[in-house]
Amino acid sequence: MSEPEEHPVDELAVYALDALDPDERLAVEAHLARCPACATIVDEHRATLAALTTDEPPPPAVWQRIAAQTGAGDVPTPLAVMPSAPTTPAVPGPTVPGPPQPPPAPPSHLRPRRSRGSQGSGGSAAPRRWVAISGVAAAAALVVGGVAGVAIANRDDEPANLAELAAAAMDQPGAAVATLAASDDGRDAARVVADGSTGYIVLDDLPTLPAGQAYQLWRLGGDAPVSLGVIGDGRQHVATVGIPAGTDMLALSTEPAAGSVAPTGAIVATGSFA
Amino acid sequence: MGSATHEGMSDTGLAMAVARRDGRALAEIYRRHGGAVWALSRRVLRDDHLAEEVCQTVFCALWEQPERFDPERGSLRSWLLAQAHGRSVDVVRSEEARRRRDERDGRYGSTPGPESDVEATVQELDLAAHVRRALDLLGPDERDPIVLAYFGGRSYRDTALALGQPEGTVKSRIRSGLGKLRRALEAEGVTP
Repeated sequence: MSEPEEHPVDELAVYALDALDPDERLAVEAHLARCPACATIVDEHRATLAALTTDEPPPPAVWQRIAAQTGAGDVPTPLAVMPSAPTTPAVPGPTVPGPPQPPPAPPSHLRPRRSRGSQGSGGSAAPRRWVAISGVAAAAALVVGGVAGVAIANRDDEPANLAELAAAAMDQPGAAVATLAASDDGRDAARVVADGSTGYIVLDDLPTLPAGQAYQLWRLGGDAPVSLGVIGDGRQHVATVGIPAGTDMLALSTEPAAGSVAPTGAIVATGSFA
Repeated sequence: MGSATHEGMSDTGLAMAVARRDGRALAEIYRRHGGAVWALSRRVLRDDHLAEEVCQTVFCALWEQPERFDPERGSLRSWLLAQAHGRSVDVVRSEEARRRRDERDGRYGSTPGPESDVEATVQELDLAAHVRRALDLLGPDERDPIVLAYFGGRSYRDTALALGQPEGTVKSRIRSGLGKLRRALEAEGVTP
């Protein structure tokens, strides 16, 4: 069946359907690595197959799981594909414009290979972490069942950068820092530093949570607690959070990993900027 | 930069933004293609929980390794669906292997028979009208192996067994069927 010097045309089609045996698959992949013409044929087959699938609305849990794992959390737009969601885009509330964060260069393998020619089309100077989330935006996310989240330092190569950014923010003259005291013994459990409308939380002395749980930061003092972000399970010590203007009292609770729309778990620490 | 900005971006632009760790770009990609990834995973796996896991894996893999998507080789949607299909098939095969082990160990009394009614399988697929018309143009000889292998997650050997046809015949019919399907979809105004 293997004829290395000929183009395995039948196998290319079966390969595109993921229907080859493992050894045949390896043989085709070896051929594809040195035969651009056959790689193009596979690409065409895949494009044809892609046209067969009709969208169905995924359950909300899917995006919540993706957001929890990637930190791409607070964006309600994905909910537009759900049947119960409004067809119009999410409320374009007066999002607090965050100050430009110093965007560290991504690792070389993550840099776009093409020239950055698309910058003029709106993707220009995208801050590495989008975090500014106002109370209004958070409320919009809550209304549609989303999770007000944050970008967390969830990549192995990033926490050091984030820790440096947090440390730099705390070192600024007049920096607003809230120390959160643990509910059980009053120790200094975490610090939150505001940097304009964004900020950082540093978990100084909190245990790693069991699988399926996460810390979540809340703003207190209004009609109801407002989520400032899902922080992760405690293994990463620094995360970015949104700090709307006027935030004073803060509470940290344990919640399901995807976050909650209102606090449901134990309050593990509290503090304020005052 | 709000999500309104992202809505105006091309898929390729969004993928590049993901490489810059832009979470809203990932969300916009999910908004555009999450429904297709979900639908295909669910179709192949026939299990919502497994489909959720595959969807999560596909989008998290894009977040972790966006450079694996090469816009020179096709659309982002096509790439995402190929990822979803490959992972779903892997799950199906491992579930099958587990079931066969269980059967060998005598935990199950009987083996499910081959697909008894391929036509019913095809008809129960929730296909867009233009897709169904294109598939119907193929005729069962070329349509059925594609449907069983692609949506059923079967290997071509299993497909041949289910259809009672030689393996080589099934392979060549899959190839000729895909070619016709492409032309039929183009005739329907869909450019794959």
